[in-house]
Amino acid sequence: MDEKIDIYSYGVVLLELLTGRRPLEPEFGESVDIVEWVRRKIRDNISLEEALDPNVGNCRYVQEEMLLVLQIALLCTTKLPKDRPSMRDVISMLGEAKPRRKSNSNEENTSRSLAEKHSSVFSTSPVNGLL
Amino acid sequence: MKMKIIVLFLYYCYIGSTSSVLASIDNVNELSVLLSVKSTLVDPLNFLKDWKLSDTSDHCNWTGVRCNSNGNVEKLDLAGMNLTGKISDSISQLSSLVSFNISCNGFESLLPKSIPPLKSIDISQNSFSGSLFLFSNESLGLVHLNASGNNLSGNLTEDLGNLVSLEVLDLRGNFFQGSLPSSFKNLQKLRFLGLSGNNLTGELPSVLGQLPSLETAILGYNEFKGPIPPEFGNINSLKYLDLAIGKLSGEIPSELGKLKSLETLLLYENNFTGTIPREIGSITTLKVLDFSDNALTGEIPMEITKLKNLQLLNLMRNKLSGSIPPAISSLAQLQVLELWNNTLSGELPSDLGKNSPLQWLDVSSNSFSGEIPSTLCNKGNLTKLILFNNTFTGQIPATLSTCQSLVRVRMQNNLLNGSIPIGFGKLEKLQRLELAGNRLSGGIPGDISDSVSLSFIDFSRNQIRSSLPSTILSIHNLQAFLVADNFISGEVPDQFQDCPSLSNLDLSSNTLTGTIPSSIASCEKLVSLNLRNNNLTGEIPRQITTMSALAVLDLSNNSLTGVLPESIGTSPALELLNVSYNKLTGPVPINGFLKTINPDDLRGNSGLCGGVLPPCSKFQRATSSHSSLHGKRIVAGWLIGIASVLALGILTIVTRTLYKKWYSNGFCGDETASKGEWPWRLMAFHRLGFTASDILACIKESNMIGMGATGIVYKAEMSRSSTVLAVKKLWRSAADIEDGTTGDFVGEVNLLGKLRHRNIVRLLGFLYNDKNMMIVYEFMLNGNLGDAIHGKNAAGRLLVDWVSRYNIALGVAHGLAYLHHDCHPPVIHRDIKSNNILLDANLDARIADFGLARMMARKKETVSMVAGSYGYIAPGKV
Repeated sequence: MDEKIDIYSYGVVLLELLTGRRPLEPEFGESVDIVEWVRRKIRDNISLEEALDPNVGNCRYVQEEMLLVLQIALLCTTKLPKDRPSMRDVISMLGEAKPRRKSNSNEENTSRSLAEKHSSVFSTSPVNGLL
Repeated sequence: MKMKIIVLFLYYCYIGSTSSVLASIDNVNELSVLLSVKSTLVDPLNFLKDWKLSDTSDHCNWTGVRCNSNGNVEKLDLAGMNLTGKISDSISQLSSLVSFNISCNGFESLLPKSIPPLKSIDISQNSFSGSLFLFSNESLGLVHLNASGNNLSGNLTEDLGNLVSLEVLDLRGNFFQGSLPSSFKNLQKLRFLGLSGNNLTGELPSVLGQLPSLETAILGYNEFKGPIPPEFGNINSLKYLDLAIGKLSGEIPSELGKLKSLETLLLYENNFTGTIPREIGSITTLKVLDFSDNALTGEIPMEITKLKNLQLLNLMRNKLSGSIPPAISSLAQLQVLELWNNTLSGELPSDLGKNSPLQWLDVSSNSFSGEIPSTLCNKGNLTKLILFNNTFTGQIPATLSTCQSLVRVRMQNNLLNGSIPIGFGKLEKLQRLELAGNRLSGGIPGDISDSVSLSFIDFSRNQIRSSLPSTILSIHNLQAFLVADNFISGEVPDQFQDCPSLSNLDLSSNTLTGTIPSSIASCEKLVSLNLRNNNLTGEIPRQITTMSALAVLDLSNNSLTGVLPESIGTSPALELLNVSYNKLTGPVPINGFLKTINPDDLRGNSGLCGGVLPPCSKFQRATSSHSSLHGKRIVAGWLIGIASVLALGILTIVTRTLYKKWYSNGFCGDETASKGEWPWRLMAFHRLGFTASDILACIKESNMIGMGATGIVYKAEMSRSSTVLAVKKLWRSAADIEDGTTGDFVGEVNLLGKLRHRNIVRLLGFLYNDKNMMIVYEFMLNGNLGDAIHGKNAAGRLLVDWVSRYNIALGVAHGLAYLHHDCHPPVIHRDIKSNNILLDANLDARIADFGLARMMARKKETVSMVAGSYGYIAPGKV
């Protein structure tokens, strides 16, 4: 169950990516953190779109995609550790929330070469003088 | 894990269709193309600051830009600017570009899919990865291709042979594998072929012998096996042939003697057998000949003395026998002669060095006899003179002690007699003077004390009779002074106030009298002090117990009196204490390591009692030794032995590096000599291109980039490998140090060092001594995610679209899943937060600081320390 504490922290990072806010901000009010701030919006029936980072979620279909990930973030930050998903579950859920288009750098990011895994940045070559 | 293969695709556009564009429009376009190229580059040192729009700006004058007579950009030279980021696709619009150089930068991402029809491309010394070059048929114009010093991999394919215009092909220092394609024979214009430092296998193809223009072939540092094809003797133009460090075998073909232009022939570290072919003597152009580290037998052929241009002759570490051809002393260019570790015998030519500007002479570990030639330094260039483990007789020539160029003199274990000539102390470059294990008599020359350069003096095992010069231990750079096993008399000099570097002092087995001066405690760096087997009297000075580095203290077999200082057991670094066979009295303190000291190290002092010895009331002598402790000493002996072998290996490697530096080029910057600070140990998890001292030089306040719960982070730029590191110096309390928990840490970090995943920060090494620990990570260019989201760094501007943020979320998830599910035992991070997620040059997420929170927390073993950061900790945990 130990890894569940990482899952919670990961959920907080997801919320940071979604809202652009820090985990603790004065605006949240006393002893309320980003998790509670989002949950309170749900309880108060405030539309969750308002919580999203306005610099990122500035059009309708992007907001839809972001809300899918917000659901994952909420799952990760549930109070009971046993209710939190495993990291493998998170990956498959993220797969279903994948944005529909690619960014400029996306192609490279998803197809990095084998060399990077198997070789160090430091070559053994005499050209480097690193014998 | 599934390996993804990527194709690095250099596509060269068809030339004809682009040539008719109007030049005037080009000029405006090209300026904006350059600006667009700049916009995707990360230029931390602002090399491209003049790349900007202004009324007077002519982009042809911008840094690194050169235009042709029509005002079109024909050359881009962005080498060595510390650039990262992306090469924009728009570069393909520079239709007149023929030469493109981005060497010595930090590029990782792929080249653009299309590039103009270049004649010359240099992407060397970056971090490009990829498995293959694919060349379209239109790229035949390429003349110069340098991709050395990257992380490229995969096979060299047959279509390389289509680049028939190629004159320079440099792929050194990558991870290419497989055998050489036979299509290489089509490269009839090839002058330079550099393939060294890859993982290439198979036999050397004989078709390389059909390349009529080849001048330089650097194929070493691969895994080629089998013989050298005799056809190599047909490459008339060949000047430089490097086949060093591989698995080549068989005899060296005599056909190589036909190479009439060859200047350099490097065949070292292979499995060549047989004799050195006499025909080598007909390559009169030869300057550098290195056959070392093979299994060559027989004699050194006389014909080798016909190589009038020879500057370097290295035949060490073979099985050569016989004597040195006397005419070798006639070689008027010879600078380096290394013949060590063979079974050579006879005398050195008596006029060796008379005609040759010798710099390095190493004939150690052979069976040479006779006298040391007095002419070795006639030309005044001799820096290394290494003659140890032979049977040289006679005196040390006085011409050596006036040889101002000398840096190392190592003549131990010979049969030299006479006295040490006066003058070595006046040689301003001399660092090592090793004369141990001879029959030297007389005294220690007084001028040795005046030396400004000596760091290692070993006169042990001779017949030196004199007292120690009173200021000899004050030599400013002296690290080791070893004169054991002589007839040195008088007192230990009381001049320890100025011994800034001394770490090893061995005066054992002499006839020293008087007391141990208490000023010895001011030698802050002294690690080993051996005074055993003298006639010292008086008490053990209490100040010795405060010495911060002293690990080995041997005072046995003297006539010391008094009691053991109470605090000796808790002396900061002491590991080995031997006071046996003295006249010490009183109780053995029961503290620190004295609680477990081997009674043998205390025996022979009839007045000592208590502690590990029989209780004081009974006055019994300690008798039998404990076998378990004895066992520990054997282990310690082994460790020392292994360490020495390692040290020798490192020495060899360093020597090699120096050679490479001499005889090859292509470095980005100057290599700085490593200082080799002794107490630091560097545990490497990857192949590293830097040393502990390189890193330590960067640990200073101006390089601090962050501070966290686990330590301070410094940025460390390694100039020699153009690598940037992040070094985290861990917080450690004095209690940790006393507990000696470093060992646990080493084990834990070792585990963490084995973790490999594209979404966790690579742990490159671990640097530690008894007080401090530093973890060496790769440096992440784009800082941490927290700063990026919350707008404190430049990467923030790149994180304004959801796809980029989603990719980061996915990357972190993959990294965490690896730590949780693929590692055994699973690694729980315990401090996941946006500040611990770093962004690499591609804005890929890399998890940092894994494992540390637990290590720090567990050590404290108190409930008050909660791993994690507020705001990120699960509710139940707070």
